[in-house]
Amino acid sequence: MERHNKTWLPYVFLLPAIALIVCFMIYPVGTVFYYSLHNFYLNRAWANGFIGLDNFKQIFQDSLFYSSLAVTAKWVFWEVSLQLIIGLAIALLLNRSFKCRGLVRALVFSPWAISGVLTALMWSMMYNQHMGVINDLLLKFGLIKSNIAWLGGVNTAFWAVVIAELWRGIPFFAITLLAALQTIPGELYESCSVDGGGKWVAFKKITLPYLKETIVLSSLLRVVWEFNNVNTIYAMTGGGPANLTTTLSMYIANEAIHSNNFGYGSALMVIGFLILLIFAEIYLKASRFGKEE
Amino acid sequence: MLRKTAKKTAVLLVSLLLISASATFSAPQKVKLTFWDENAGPNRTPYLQELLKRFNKANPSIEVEYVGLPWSSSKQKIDVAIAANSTPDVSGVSTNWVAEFALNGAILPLDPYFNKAPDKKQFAPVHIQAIRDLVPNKKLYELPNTFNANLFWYRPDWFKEAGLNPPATWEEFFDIVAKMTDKSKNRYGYSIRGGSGSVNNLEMLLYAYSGLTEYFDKKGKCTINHPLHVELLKKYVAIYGKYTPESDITNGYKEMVANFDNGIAAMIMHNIGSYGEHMQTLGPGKFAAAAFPVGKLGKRTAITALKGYVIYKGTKYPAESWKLVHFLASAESQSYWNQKIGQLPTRLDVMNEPWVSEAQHLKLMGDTFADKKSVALKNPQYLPDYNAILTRLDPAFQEVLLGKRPVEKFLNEWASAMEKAKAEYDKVFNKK
Repeated sequence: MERHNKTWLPYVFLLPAIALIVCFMIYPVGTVFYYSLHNFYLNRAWANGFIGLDNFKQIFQDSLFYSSLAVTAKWVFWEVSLQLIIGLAIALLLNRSFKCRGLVRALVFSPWAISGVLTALMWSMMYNQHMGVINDLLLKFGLIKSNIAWLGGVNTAFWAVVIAELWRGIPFFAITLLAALQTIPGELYESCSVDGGGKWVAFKKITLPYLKETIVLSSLLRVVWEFNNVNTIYAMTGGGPANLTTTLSMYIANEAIHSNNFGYGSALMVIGFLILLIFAEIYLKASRFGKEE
Repeated sequence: MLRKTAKKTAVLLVSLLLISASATFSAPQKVKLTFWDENAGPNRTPYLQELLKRFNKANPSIEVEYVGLPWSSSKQKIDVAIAANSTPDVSGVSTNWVAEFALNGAILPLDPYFNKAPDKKQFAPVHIQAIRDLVPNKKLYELPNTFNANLFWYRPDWFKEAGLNPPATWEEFFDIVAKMTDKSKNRYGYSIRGGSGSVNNLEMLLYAYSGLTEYFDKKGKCTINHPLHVELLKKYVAIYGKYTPESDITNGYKEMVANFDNGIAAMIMHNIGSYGEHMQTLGPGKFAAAAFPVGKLGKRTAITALKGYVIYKGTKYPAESWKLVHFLASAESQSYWNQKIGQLPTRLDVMNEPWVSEAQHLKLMGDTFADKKSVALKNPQYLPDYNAILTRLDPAFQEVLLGKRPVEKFLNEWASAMEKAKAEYDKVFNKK
């Protein structure tokens, strides 16, 4: 009897969690796959129905799909690499002891606590051509001659959004890397200096290997997040001008929400999902995640 | 003993039930309606809430819950609510959504109520007919309470300073735009709507310039790629960045209006509905309305828009919902609302009130419509895909502004999307 109890009881305890996952993850994700094989317009009900792989065939002929994929790659690359480098530098600085360290830490982490849409609105105002503080400062310092439409310019819009998102994303790396830094035993650095190793050697031979797991995992998470990031871009440029900031996620949002084409939007979503899945697999394999050196 | 207890419990339960039942019967049941405002904002919400307060006072048995949606996302929110069967009882709508909602079976025809309404003759027949014409069954799905039209807003103080008058011809328009630009003062002659809603705005300008009054010709070809439209658009693109701020490319309606209200642009093309914003920010004397010049083909094509209220099919209280809709479109409410937001009423009795001819922009609209040269454009608001097509073209228009897409290509794509949607519509609803 006791044995029998032991076999089913854990499942009972797991049931609420499983039920939640099924309701809020498996079902919605399944629906996306389902709709990707359908025409599903909110405004033209008569056109709705099963169409097989037509949406996918259309995607591969869609020039906007390829351009949005290129923008996504550029966006993810710059966001994640810059956030990682600057975040690591800040974590190393904050790991030292100095006056008012607590206050500085809190200030450094504060952008992370601000919502994406709020960040976007704040930066949009700063970038504003006519009353933005950025143009004002640059004019006063004589760096520009006339006001610049940062979010409207072909050459500036993408980078303007990158900087806004960077500001918000750096603390994520700083926090996680700082936590990892604090787990490195101090004796290692002592013995390194006893052996005559300089700061660079200590960083290369002790700090980096200790941080590796954290860097791999946090950068993978960040890749997924930045790939799916909609709110900053949506609120700052809406994917414009002329689709220059339209990432795949922005394109999906525009197709589904503005064009009422949920079937096509779902198919794009499925493609995005597969891309991320394959990327994660390769990335973890290549970085030998979880394996001792 | 056990039996006795059971009996006692039963008696207690029954009496409790009776008490609660009588309590429910005796307390007056309040009907709760949910109302979604499709264009909430500081220049509108307080007035609408005042109207709802008046309604609640006059109808103590009905309680209205107000939910304000910002204009930029209200259509999406209602679309999603329709798909998820979680619509409110009543909402405000732009008339070009009505066909889509009605064909999806999301809203109720108002005829059973409207036909019995004692004041039905007060609603301008032209507006009622326009709404009926949106659907193949010619039923009335919306009760209009306000009427809107596009015009130029300009700075009379700046114009006076420069010795200029508002444009009487389209050549003058482009002249003025150039003359009013002084980049050293951060002043521009005009501000273009290049972001969200840009193509909708552009459509009005194109037809105003050409004077064409039909969206589709007799053969079913869309007229949006007419040579005169190509001509106008080329001139329009040429002023972008030169006589307009470069940031115009991301302008939604709010940004465009802000450019005007903050003294950056001398002129914008918008509807009479931004009157409240200009009044609040610029104040009297610093803004005025000007009608479009007569189009190249001799007609002044007026593009008008109605707004009103609809009742959703999911409502449990259609009669009470009608009460609310009827109240919001009543003479008293229309008079209050339209005076506050600076738009035209849809009722004949309110149209005759003195304030309509006193406000400069409303008088101008009245005179323009009375002019024999003015004709209303029949844009295909009945096509359920109409809005989506215009929205989808917004980024393409940005490419045109940036010189990355030829004007002709853009207009041809626009025309063929409309023709395709019309062909599909005609096929589905057997119009041919």
